[in-house]
Amino acid sequence: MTQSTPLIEMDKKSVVAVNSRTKLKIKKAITIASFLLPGLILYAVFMLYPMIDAVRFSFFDWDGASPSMNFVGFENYVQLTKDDIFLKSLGHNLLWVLLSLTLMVVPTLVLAVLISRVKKGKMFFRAGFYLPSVLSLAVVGVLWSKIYDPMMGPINVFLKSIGLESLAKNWLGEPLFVIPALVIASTWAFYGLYLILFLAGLQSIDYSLYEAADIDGAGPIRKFWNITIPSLRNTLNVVISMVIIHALKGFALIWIMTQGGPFYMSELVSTYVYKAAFSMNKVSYATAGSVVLGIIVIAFTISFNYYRERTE
Amino acid sequence: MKGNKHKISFLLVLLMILTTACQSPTSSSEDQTKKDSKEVKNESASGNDHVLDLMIPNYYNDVEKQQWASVVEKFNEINPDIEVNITNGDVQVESGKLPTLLQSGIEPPDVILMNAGPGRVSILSDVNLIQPLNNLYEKNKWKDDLRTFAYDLISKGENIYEVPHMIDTIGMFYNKDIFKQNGVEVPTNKNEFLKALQTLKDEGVAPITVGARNGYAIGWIFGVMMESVMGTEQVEELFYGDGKWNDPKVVEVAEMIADWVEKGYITKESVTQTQPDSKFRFLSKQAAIEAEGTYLITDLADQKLEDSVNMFMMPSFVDGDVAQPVGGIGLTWVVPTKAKDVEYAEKWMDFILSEDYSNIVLNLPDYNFIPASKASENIEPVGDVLKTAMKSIEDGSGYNPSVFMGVEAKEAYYQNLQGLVGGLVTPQEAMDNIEKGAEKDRANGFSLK
Repeated sequence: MTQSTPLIEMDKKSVVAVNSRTKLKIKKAITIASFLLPGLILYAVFMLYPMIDAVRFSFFDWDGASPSMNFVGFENYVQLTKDDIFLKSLGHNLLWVLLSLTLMVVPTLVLAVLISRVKKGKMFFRAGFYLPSVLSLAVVGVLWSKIYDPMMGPINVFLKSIGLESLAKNWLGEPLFVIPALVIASTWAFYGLYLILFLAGLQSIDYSLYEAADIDGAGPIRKFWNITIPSLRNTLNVVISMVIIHALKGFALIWIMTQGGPFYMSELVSTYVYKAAFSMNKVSYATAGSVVLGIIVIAFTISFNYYRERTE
Repeated sequence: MKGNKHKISFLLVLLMILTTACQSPTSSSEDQTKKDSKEVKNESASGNDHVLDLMIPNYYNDVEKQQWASVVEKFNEINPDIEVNITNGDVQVESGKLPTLLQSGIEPPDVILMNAGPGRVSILSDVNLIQPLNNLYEKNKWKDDLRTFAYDLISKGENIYEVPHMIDTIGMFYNKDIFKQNGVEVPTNKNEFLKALQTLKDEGVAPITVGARNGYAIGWIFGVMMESVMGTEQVEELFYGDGKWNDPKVVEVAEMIADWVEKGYITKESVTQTQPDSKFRFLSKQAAIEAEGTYLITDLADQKLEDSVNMFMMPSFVDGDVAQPVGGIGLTWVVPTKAKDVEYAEKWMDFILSEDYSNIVLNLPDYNFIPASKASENIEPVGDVLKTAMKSIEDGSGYNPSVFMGVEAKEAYYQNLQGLVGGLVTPQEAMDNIEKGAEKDRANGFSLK
């Protein structure tokens, strides 16, 4: 009896220790969950569930309101491959990506570098250049429609006033100009965000690198190319990813300025699926188009990040 | 343990607050709208809890707003126990807003005044977003209350889903002062019409303005041209017979519009011009003619231009024929399937077809619609332009194609007509494309026969 007492006490102690460890684990799990759950629930309800449901709808022939729908397998996807306008829209999306990358990334980076060099009034320039980003896209759309107006728009009025009438075009009405014109408007609306990212990236570059380069006699272009660009590698990756994603899912500005016209010249997948779903009751067909676009966006993003990681 | 319970409860409450706080702005504003609407209803409940919720198109201007106020006042005089709550919105099916509103699950209005046409109404009726009104037609004998032309247009199918509000009358509105200054008379035949366009062009005046950026507006002028070049019967054949969009006669109309752009009668820039911009150009005397419906009348009143503008029908290009104004039913009343007070909606639609309504609106000098009711046939409108329009449809009306097309054909129609104005597609290709759309519609079961 006397020998067994310490054993029981030891057992009790170990039980208490196990209990307190379990409690600690539960407590830890609850703490982690309390941080993760709000975001996860919102993400699941507003992102994952609609996405999964969209994929499901794409295999049916739902019109958007009927209580019943028929399973059609991959029929909607097969039809998409035969749909000239959808394929044209995809092509426009790719052109939009290329133009966005060209117009958005390099000029914004150069602008950020220039602003970072300004000694006085840096805040003024930052705020000034960021200003377009705070405007609603509806306002931006109407504003740029007026700017591009072939008869009263300031661009054509200016060109005509300096005798360059032949250069005055119907910017939103000619096949060669409509998408570039829309991309310029889109760039104007969004470059502020990327400018801020670049400015933040520039601030994190170790200034001693530039001092060392100065001692070695490097010029501004060489410093930009050999110090600034490599140091901004991560920022550039983020910006390029964001520009690609944004370019592929752009909708509001096109809808306000051209609605995909004239004659489908500015039709993007997003405008096309919107019309199909809400003007033509072809909800399942439209979701199939959206799924294809979603896959392209994901593929682009993953490929780009994979490439980036490999080159690092 | 008790402490843990408190923590878990606290976390759950926090989660609920976060979920509520992070709801989308749309959802929040909808809640607010519902709340506001409830407040309005509660206020009205103090003396009256019978509220009829109407949804009508956005007002063009204050003149139209005043007109609706007069109409509602008259309705209240007859039905003092029903309060009318008007909401304005986009009632076009093409923009997708109306189908989205009805699909969204938000409590819909009791009755909606939407852009009419079998090609539009069927988008809602095919998916049961609006309800059939056969019983109401029978009960109220609405067939006898409607103009025969209007009733015929909406009663082709098994069910009737709408009560026509007005007859569209689209023709050529012209500025009298510009015509006079340039020595142009209102044309009465093909040669005079083409000569008038050339004279205006030679005098440096833009002959015709079109808001081709909005499909329906380029559709207006194309419909007017189809009526003149093809004649009503041949146009009818397209919708109710075996006509094809790429028939030589339709291609001829497409060639004519392309030719007018080429000759400068319609500026090529019109391809990006919106209808409101086109209207502004016309009203500010920057162009002599605009193909429009009688909707323009309130703008004329708003800008005190009643004496400067009138309308004429584009003369027929078919020997011995007289071109009709194109149209059909312009606006029509529909009742959402989920409407809560169908009884009030019924009273409202019955009022719209009554003599009381026609008397009120046709005695407004700036009223802009021809009522679809038989009661209106014997009342002479006070306004001159509306008088001209009403006279012009005495012998019937032509067809505004946009109203009679299926969804695929209509989308192709709008885009290809834009393409024609912009010189982006040949007339033959454009009509082939529209026909392809019509074929898809037919394959999907769309038919007006």
